[in-house]
Amino acid sequence: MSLSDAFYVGLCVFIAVVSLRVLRSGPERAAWRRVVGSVSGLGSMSLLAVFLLIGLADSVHLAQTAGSGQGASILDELLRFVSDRGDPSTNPVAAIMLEQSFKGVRSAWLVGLAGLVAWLPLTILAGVYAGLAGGLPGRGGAAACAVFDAIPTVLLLVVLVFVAQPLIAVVAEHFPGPTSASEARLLVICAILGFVRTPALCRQVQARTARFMASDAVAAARCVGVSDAQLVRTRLLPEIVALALMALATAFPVLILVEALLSYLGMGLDPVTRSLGTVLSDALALAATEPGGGDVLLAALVPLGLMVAAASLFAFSVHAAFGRARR
Amino acid sequence: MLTELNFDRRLALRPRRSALRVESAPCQMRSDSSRWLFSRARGPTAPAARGNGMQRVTLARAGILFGHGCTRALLRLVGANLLCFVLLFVLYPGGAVVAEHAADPEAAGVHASGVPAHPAVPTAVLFNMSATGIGHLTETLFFDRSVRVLGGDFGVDVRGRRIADEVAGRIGPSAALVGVPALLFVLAAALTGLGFVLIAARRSAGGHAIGVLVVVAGVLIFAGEHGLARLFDYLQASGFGPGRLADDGGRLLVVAAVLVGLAVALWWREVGLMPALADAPARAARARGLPEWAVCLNHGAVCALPALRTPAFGSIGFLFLLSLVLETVFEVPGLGRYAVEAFHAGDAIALHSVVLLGVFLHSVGLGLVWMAFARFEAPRSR
Repeated sequence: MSLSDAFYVGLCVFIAVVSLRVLRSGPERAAWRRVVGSVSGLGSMSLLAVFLLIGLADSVHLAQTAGSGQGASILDELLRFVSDRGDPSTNPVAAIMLEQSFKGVRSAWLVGLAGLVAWLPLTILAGVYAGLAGGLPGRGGAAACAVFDAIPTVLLLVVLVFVAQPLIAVVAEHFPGPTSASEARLLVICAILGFVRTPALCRQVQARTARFMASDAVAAARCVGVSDAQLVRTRLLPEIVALALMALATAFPVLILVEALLSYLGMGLDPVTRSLGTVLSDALALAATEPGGGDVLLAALVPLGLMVAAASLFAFSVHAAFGRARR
Repeated sequence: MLTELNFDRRLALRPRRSALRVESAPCQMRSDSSRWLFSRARGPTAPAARGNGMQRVTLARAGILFGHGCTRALLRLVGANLLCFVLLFVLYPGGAVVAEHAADPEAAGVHASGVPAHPAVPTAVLFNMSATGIGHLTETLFFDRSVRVLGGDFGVDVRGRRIADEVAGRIGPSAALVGVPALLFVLAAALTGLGFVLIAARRSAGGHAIGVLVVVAGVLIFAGEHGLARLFDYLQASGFGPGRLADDGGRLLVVAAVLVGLAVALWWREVGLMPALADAPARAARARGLPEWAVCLNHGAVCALPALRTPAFGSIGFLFLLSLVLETVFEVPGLGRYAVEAFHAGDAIALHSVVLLGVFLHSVGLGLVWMAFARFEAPRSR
């Protein structure tokens, strides 16, 4: 199992833990019930679950071969099974492109979610500290967030990826196997894409913390002897978790699209790594030369469009449900 | 009770326009204050206007927000410059050498391959402070570079070309390629939004049909055979792209821009217009006999405009993404293409220049949004 596979499995475990936590917590369960209750929320969740399983099937390898280090994944076997029984009249290039698109789903989950999830604890910690401390840390944190916000996101991404080139080379030296450079690039790009979204979330957490600590309810609780740590743990953190979930849901489709565009421009993932962006780039190149170019482009665009549409609808439902819960 | 009745009676006897003015007081207060702020502040009526305490408060709030917006924009510029400098010239290996040599066109050939070969700084300056010294970097290089950039001298890129000339030559194609879809998007969104206002004003099947016809006609005008898609023929004839910006590609862009404009107008209708039309002042104005079109235009549309502030924030950054992608797809030599070329050539100095230009435009855009906020929305939020 490669490191990116391990990260993907870790992401699935994170999603499972969050789901279990939601099932146990009363207010959150009510909000998620509203998400599942809407048609768009249920449909998008189902579609995203299917995509999550596709990515998981791509991360679990059946048997290891002596030469390459890892054998075919479950998804490879499934795709081989489907292609053996498929319609022979299908455009073979488009069929291959569709298979590659499905193999790019795992990378989409990693770039869309894993990076931000990895930065989440640090972001929440920094935001809560800045909100609690106020004064210089608070103003400094707000100013730092404003500086990051001043640079257009795409240009900031270009600069960060540019600066990370030597870092990718250094990280690649520590990865075993022939795909070390692409693995290292995938992980560094994930971290960069996640990092770009953290200042806004940190600012939101800081503002929410400051507002919470200045409320009359907190003053009353302090009067009866409740400590700040207890207030933060029991009252503030659930609000911040809801905020973080909304940020994750909102960032997911955006980051998938941004990765696709960066990969198309040659600034994103390595062409060896199968992602929705690299597949789209290949499809655009093939569409200009191949006779059935439209089919090829469609095969690359359909999974990307479905995933982004499902993620956007899901984000909309989560916003509606949690926004109503907060009101 | 008697006083309230008399008050209502006076309102009923007034012209309809006045009834709206009284009922939608927050909206009218906003336009009164902004009018006072921008036209009468230095006029002969200024002393009398200052006698009105509420307007003075409004002016103070607008002024504070305006100054706050300008200060924020300036701080953003300075901070972003420092951040980009640290990233590109301190953390990036050899970036400092590129920055030093960029000021001298003859020395640019030293690193024409894109890989700086200066013996003093083989790795990132931050991790090799003893070789160059962080003091030299901050005291000399940062301020020297900042002053040069302020004077319009961005230095030379790895190919030995002056960056200022390159940027000046690429702004036109970039603005044309990104600006035309952006303009069409704004026009489509504005016309569709107006169509929604008219539909809301008519409140009948015929009104809906008229509104739908207006929207369909707008799409046909924008994307039709003889419509505004012909603008791209002009771009093609101007030599912006070697054959990629053909009719179909141009029309596709036009259709995409119009569709996104329609989507934004739909969103604005849901989150801005309809809630504003369901507000108590709008209902009261209708109850006093004001025509529906006046309620929709004077109250609904105006009060729903601030809902567009958030998309305006996002669209400024989105234009750069559009520039990067469209100029690569259509092979147009614009600013986005220059950034992509600089990335692949390892040209830190050119990338720094493009990013600074982007930050400047972004800050100006954000400043304009803040000014709009101070003018239109802040006086309401007492």
